[in-house]
Amino acid sequence: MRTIILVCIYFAVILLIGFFAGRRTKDMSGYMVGGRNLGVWIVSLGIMAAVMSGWTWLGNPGSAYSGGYSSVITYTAFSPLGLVISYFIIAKPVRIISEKFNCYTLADILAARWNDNKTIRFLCGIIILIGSATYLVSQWVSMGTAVQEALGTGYRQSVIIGAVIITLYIIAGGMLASMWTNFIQMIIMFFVAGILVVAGFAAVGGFTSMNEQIAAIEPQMISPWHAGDGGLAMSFVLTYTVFMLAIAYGGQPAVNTKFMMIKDKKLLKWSPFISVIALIVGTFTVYVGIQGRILVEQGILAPPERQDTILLDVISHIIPGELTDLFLIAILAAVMSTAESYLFTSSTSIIQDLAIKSFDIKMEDHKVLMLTRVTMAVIAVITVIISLSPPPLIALIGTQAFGTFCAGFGPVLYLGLRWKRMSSRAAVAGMSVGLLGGGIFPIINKLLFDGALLSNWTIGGLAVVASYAVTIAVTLLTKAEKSKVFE
Amino acid sequence: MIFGLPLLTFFLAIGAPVISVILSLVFVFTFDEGDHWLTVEDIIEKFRKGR
Repeated sequence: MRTIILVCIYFAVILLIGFFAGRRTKDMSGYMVGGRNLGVWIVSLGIMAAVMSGWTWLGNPGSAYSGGYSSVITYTAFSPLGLVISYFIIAKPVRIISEKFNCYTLADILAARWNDNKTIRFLCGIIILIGSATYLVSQWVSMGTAVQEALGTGYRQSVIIGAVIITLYIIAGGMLASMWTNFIQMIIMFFVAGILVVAGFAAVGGFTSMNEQIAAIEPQMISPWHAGDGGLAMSFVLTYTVFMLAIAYGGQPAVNTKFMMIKDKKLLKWSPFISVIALIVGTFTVYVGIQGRILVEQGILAPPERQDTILLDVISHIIPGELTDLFLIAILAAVMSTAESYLFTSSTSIIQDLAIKSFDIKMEDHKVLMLTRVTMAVIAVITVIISLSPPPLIALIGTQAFGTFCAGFGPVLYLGLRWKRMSSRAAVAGMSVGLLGGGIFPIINKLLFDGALLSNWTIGGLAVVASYAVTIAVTLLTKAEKSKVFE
Repeated sequence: MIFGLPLLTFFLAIGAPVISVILSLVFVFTFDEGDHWLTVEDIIEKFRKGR
């Protein structure tokens, strides 16, 4: 009963925030980018809340349960580095261009860079739509599981309850509601993750003791690449962590679009420091997987039914009963913050990038705003219906969304915003290769070859490299074009 | 063995996040507050002038 009350209070608070944000949102700029008037803490922590999904809390510790340090390195080593690099390279240009050319979406930024190129805008819309909508389905599924755990409702009711709450406050308050709720959600996640990491290390006798125990259980668990027993091969770890995380992290719309929202570009200088601390604390929950394995081997915990539930099992053992509800809310916060972000980007991408701006349809702002809200509701309904019984293909595309974004946008953004010579043809080529390699090839590989091709590699990481190579090659082979963003 | 870990594992698991924090502080102190942002062409130009 206490859990239900706490979760209901949490839902009520985020709904209130959403409606309060809605009252403050008066125009397109307010709805789409929070009026470009958000403080450094809201933006820095909001980015992290959108990035940290249920995967961070459940999937990563589950992977470390069998993979040990190869999972720790894959998911945590270079993601903070990649985040800082994305701030170094694209944060300031994105903020300046967005204000100068009144950009609201990533497609607006890229179109402005290449003189309103319609192909780039359309391609950008397609990548976001495919990646965001399918990722959204996977987030509804995770949210359904989390709400089910919290409220004890059935899976279908749980998905619908969570989705209705998120859709209501996002429709009402737009990006401002999203960023405010993300901020609150990240604060909850930060403290809960901090407590969990400290309590987890204490439960196994500290950092050194944890490493000695896990090495005694299975020596490969302290290897950076652990190819056997569900672990990860060196090629997989390196292509994921170096190519996708380190050099293309900023390709995620959940990251790059947030750079537009800070009220003063000078404040951006503090943003990576705040974000990186939050990210490190959040992603260190991966260690709970290793700690869980030790507790299972010691016979203190029963082996989990699924690896992904190891974090919940460890929480129930190391955290006092009255505090476990808080941990459940943190997991809910992680899933909801990501879901709301992708609901927003997929809807705005359809209506603004693919429909209105690609076809030069002239429309007053208030009508665009109304259409965006209607589209959001339609997208929510469609994706929720799919997530009630998700087809394997949609679930598969959802798992590839991260790679699609990194390969589709990372190289084009990183090179395009810092290399005047880069041509629009190079951008189209780079984005196409990224979409094909990071998004479509893994699906064909799975459907036709059962994932046998390049099985020891992260295909999204290889697609990032291919996209960089093609972008550079086509740039050198084509004529430079003047761009208004550098004038 | 550092804290029970091989050197490479320790560097990747602990060193890389620490380097990220240091880099984020470098960002604070090197951030250019003007409207211009450094491009590849600017770097090439500086390199040519330097030579």
